[in-house]
Amino acid sequence: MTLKIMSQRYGLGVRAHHLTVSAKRPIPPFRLIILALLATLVIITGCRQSNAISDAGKTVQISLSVEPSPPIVGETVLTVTLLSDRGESIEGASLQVRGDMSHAGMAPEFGEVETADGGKYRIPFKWTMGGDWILTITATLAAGEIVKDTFKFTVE
Amino acid sequence: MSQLERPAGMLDVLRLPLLGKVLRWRYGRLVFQTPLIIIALLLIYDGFTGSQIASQNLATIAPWVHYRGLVIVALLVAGNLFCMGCPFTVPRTLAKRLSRRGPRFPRILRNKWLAIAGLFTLFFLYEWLDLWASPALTAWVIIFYFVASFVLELVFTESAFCKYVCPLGTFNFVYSTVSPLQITARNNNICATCVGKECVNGSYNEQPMILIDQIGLNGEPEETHTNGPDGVLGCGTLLFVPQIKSNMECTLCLDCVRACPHENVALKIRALGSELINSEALPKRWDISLLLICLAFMGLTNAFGMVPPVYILLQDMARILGLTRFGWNDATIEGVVLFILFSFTGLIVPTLLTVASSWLSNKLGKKRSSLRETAAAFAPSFVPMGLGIWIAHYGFHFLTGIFSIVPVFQQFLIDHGITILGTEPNWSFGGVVNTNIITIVQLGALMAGFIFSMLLAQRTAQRLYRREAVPGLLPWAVVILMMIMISVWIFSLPMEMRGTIMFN
Repeated sequence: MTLKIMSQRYGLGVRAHHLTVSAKRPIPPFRLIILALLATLVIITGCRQSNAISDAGKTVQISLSVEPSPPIVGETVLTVTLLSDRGESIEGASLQVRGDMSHAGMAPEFGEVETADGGKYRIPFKWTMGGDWILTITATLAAGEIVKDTFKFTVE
Repeated sequence: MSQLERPAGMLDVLRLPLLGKVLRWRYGRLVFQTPLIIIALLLIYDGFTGSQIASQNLATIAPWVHYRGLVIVALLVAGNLFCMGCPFTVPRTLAKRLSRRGPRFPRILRNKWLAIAGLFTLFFLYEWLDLWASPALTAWVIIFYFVASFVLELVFTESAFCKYVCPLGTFNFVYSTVSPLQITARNNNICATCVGKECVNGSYNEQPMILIDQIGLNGEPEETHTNGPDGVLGCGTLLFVPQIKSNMECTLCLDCVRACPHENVALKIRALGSELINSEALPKRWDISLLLICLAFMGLTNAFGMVPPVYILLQDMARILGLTRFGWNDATIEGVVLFILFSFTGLIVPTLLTVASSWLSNKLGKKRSSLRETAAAFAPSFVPMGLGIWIAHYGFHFLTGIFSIVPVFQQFLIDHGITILGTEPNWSFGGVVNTNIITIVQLGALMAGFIFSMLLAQRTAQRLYRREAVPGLLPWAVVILMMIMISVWIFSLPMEMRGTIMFN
């Protein structure tokens, strides 16, 4: 450890004495924080889990119609149709419908299947506000396969 | 040296037992910046890798719902806390050490014109690109902030990004003029005899702004400051503590507190809005005056962008201007008409109204004063009205989505195998569902802003025009009255979060 007394002379003739103690310096907290943040970022980047849900379109077609159309604020009925890649109706699937507004912070709306017949699933739903909506349909097929698709609507 | 400002306020926050010690600590700012830089990095990460549905991603929820609401709360109850904890300036120390002695920011740009342009650009892009609906774009905005702040800090001696460019900081600067905290000197006599001016120069800073310490005894340059690791940076926005009359340009970084060798800097509590009553608090410059006034009008424009009539207006504008004939896509047409609308309502109208009101006010008040001085005198009157409009808008999003971050964060943790907050996100968390409460908050903010603005304008008219105060006040009162009427109309309409507009 070395001890250094440094005398500084300021412009108007005033003297100030500063005592500076220099030694083998520890890593400043600033650098430690940056290092820790980078390490955390690298770790979490590799940890995000990809779920087993596949996008519709490859083996299953999800189509959606709304009533009334174009959609207006209030109650509506969604009709979801599930078709296999060979054009056959898919029955017995479990459906989840989630509606999000395009603006962050708005609570999502959910819909449940009321009736299902011949691959057509009727779901009562409520457009709570006007604006852009994104409906996410997630279908769990009888065989356990999960597929999903999203649909955009502008509600008047 | 101009006259030193009389210290204001009674209680010094820096003398409070625990908080004061933390704030004065060498790494005190990092205590506030660390959580925010972690959040900023998290937002960038989730913005690129998470769901691209805005209400399911932290990158859109945190900045567009919570940040904006909390900024307003912080400004009202304390001060410019978000500039204090700004994560974008964390690399400042590194940039400063790399930059050595950089040049000053170009003289022609040392004003608020760039800041006004920055605010306009941010609000325009926010609306046109639907930043509120895009986690990835929001993440890019955050990255842009980091890069812009670092580069300007690297190139120029002062904190040019904070002082002249940053739109978020400019917003905070303007409305921190209402805040109850202000930096001030404990004893002005100490500042008058201080030769180092460390509050501006920094201690051991190799880039002093006031070069008095290099004059030397015989007028010969003399190296007196040695750059050392124990040194603290001085005020990045070049404020000299005893001359501070306004919170404008104070980032509340408290570097001046740490740099002052005399422990002569205080963070005092003052009455809400008291600065706006002081006619000498702000410089009498066109850029400052128009910043205050335009920002209030941008608040109106921004809120108008979310209600149904704007879509009809934009479609009508596109039709009247014949933009649909060029074969452009909807996004391009929307960009053009939005730019025209925002320029008109956020810049051109307030500028014309300011000039016209200043001229008319002087005429009716029978006073030969320059338009610049009159505009500068009345401009602070628009701060409360503007703040009321922003509270009404940001308050709506904040209150309706105040808890919406909970399930999104739960989902984020679950995606990473962390189940301490549950194995399923609880999407029933939302916000205030009683719209009456939100309406009361909005109307309360608007009316409070309106009344405070009118009182300020009336006070200014009395000071300027004495017996002719009523006619002198009239043009400004009409403008403020018009603003409150338009505000109440806009906020009485149903909010719509619409990004897509069909023109063709």
